[in-house]
Amino acid sequence: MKYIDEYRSEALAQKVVSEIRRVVTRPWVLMEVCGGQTHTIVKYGIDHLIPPEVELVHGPGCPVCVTSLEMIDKAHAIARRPDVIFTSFGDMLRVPGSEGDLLVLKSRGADIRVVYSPIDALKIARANPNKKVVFFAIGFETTAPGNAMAVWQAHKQGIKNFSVLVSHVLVPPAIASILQSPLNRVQGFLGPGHVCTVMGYREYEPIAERFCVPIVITGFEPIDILEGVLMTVRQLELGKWEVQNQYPRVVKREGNLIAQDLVNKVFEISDRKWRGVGSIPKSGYKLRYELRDHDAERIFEVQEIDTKEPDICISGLVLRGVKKPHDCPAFGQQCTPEHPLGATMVSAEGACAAYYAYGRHLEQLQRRSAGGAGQKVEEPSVVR
Amino acid sequence: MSTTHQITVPIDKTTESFRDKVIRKCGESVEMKEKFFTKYAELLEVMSRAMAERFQRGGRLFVMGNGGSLCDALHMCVEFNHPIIEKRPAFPVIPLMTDIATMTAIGNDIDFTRVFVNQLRLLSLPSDVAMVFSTSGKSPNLIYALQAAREKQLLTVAFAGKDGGRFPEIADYCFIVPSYSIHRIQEVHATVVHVVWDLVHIALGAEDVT
Amino acid sequence: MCLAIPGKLIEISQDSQGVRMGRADFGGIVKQVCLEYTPEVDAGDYVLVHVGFALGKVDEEEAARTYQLLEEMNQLTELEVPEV
Repeated sequence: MKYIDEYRSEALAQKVVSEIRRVVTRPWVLMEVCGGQTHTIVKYGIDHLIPPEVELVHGPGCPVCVTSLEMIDKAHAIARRPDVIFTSFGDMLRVPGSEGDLLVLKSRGADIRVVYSPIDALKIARANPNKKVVFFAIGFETTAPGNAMAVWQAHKQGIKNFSVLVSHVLVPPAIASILQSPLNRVQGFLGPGHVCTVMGYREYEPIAERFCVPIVITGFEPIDILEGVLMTVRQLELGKWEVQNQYPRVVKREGNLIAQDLVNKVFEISDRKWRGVGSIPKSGYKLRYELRDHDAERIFEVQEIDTKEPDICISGLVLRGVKKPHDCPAFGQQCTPEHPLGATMVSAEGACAAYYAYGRHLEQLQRRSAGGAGQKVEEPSVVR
Repeated sequence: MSTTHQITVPIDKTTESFRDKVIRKCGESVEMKEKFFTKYAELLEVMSRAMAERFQRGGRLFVMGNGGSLCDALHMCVEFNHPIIEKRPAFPVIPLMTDIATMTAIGNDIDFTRVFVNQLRLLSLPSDVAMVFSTSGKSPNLIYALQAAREKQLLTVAFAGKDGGRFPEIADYCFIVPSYSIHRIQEVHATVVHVVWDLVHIALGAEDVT
Repeated sequence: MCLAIPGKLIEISQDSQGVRMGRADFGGIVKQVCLEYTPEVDAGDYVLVHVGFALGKVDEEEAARTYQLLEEMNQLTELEVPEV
């Protein structure tokens, strides 16, 4: 496939890797933000290909993983209702709430349907006028235009039985939050390529400047990731901190203004709780007041929710790049994709699921049986 | 846009003495003020003159903010409404955060994001000025108010921090403290209140005596 | 959730509500795509698609230019100082 195959060329990968090897002179810690990028890194073993001085830690760019437990429990409460058809992307159905996941609820008779696009949910609403159709609108900024369009069309066409349960999250506040943490080790970022296709990358410039970290907006194929790593390491070696665009074939600095326009008509910025991380101010979207008739949080009054998180799960630390999946004692043991304890094991973009899918739990077993330690040593953060 | 790293020795905040903490935080605050006022000195002059002109023609200043920024906005009221120098005339500054009856009515019946815009639309005229304080630049209740003010032809001024959020696109004059620390941002805003009051009066011919 | 794939636009139309739609070919698999966010695209262009929405046009010239730079990497290694 064009624009995919050529970015998986092994020969080109080798070139980029040897160039990284040539320029690197000391250890650096980089974070890739997007779950899709984590997936590519683990699938192609990019973290093993690049020189050992460059460490890749995984960021919170998995919207399924960071949807708060309260929101999952709210989804359950709504989906349980007999007058509701609850629609969602496939991944969300297997995220453990306080009392099991949505798939379990479905097996008990709740009308829960997987959709590929929010427009499909809208079609279901049109076809079922006597039911309340709710779409679980999670995602980063990449998904916001699609969700905005569905709500806008429902609003314009008077599809009154369609509503969305919104739990959008935004990347720049998450990056700022990671950089402000005393545990932070990250010195450079591979920025989210598809988020920036929509939003552009202007918002990252003040972050790069204030925290003195290079941010390279990167694509998702192995060559993209390798080039992103190269560009970031080059900046670090030269003592620079700029926002650069590795993905110019789709990302422009101003992004997609038409999409941003509709997103701003439908959503407004809100505080948002990130699972495993906590509340990050102004890091989410919620529906604007004008569209309250399509806001599932307003329409369905949900009682006080008592959340229960398994103690052993360290997904919060994994999402912030402080620990790796194999640092978790439950990884590959009690916690597997079939029986996930936390969201990072459920989602295709979650770091734990990616590590498991590509056999990293087997490496961990080997390390344990050889008597080696699986724990990473924390380094103090460097003050610049 | 970027300059070279100097990797400095990490400060171990767990063993730092209280005295050193005080000196360090004070130093950070001073440094932030220097950065901000160096960057915005000219723009502050232009903005103050524009405000002075509106005051002279009978315009009023409407101020808004949330939390700590509310305090900074309210401070602007007392500086103008009751000047510390008797010779300087008072100018009307109206806060939109203090009528808690109206605010809670709007917040309760409609939405908290509308508490300022609804009041502003009702009370302001095109000859007025709207000024907001925010550490993030992303508070919806301020964004809506600024947008409405702009539509109604008020002069719009915004003081923010971090990346400025949506304010640069909406406000006629936007000033962003280059920090992600809420305290450092608010400390600069507090100084801004005094500087702006002073510059407006100097623009109108007052003696620089503060 | 950021899984977006480039596909070749093979047809443009409007749905019953007047929304600009298209069909895109993803290496043999053809799917419906909403084109409201990419009014500038024509049949034959490549678009980046996420959950049924085209989010941007793939800039073919830019792709060719940056890919070529990648391929030429290492050819002048001895002579070049790394540039950002």
